Amino acid sequence: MSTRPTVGPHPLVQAYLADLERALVGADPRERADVLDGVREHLQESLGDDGAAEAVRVQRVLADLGPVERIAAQATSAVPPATASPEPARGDVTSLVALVAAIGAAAVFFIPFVSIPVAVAALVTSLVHLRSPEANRRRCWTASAVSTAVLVLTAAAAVLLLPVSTVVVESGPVPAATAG
Amino acid sequence: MANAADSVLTQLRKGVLEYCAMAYLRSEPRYGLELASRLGQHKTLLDSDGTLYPLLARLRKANLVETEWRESDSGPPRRYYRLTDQGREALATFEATWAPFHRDVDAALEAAR
Repeated sequence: MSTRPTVGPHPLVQAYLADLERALVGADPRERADVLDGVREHLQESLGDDGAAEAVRVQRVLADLGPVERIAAQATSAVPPATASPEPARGDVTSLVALVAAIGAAAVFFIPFVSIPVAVAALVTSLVHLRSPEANRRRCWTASAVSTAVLVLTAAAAVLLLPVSTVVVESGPVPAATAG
Repeated sequence: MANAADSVLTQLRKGVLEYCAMAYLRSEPRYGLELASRLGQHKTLLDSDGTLYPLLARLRKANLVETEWRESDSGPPRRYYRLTDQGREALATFEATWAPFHRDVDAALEAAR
């Protein structure tokens, strides 16, 4: 194994690899790992671990590799096209639960102690589940949109109502004080 | 015109480029950058180095190539890609098919002039 001291890759290289990793989210897991390792080794071989490498040289090597989307487009999808249905993942329970929770949060919008945690849970679940190749993407995005709307509206209501309740609380003791 | 040519090239590369990569592995195992450099000499074959790696990943998954690590004089160990027996067989089949195919395409283009 190498004993050469490393200083970590150039920030542009790190950003490129992060973009590639994201672009390969829907790829076959084994191919994804192989592609990431191959490109990482290609960059290391071309540039070394020199974090202070000239930006021009780094940019040239990255340009030769090509856009991450083009690389990802060549990888096999995790869902084989032959078995993929036009309406994918109709039986996807997680996205259904997230959507029902988001709608439930909207229904109990005026009970913030219930609606906020339910909306947060629906939002997190739907966004995390979007990374899954089996996810019903339309359902996940709908759940995300509904739960986000609930949270935004709750925040807006809090901003509008808090000053009113503060005034009520502050104005409450005044008559009692003057009465005495 | 350039877009049309790119589109034709993209279609032609499918099913051909993998055998060109395998051909470069026939004589000896090679590491990724080395293979990319050799294929990159033919601009119609590999337009961007990065697309080589999904191709190698597919070949590996299909057991047409395998990998091994070797020490390097100039840095960390390198992953070398080696053709498997199954890969050699697939390459031989492609070559046997490609020659008459290439000949027929040329003949058809010439006859249609």
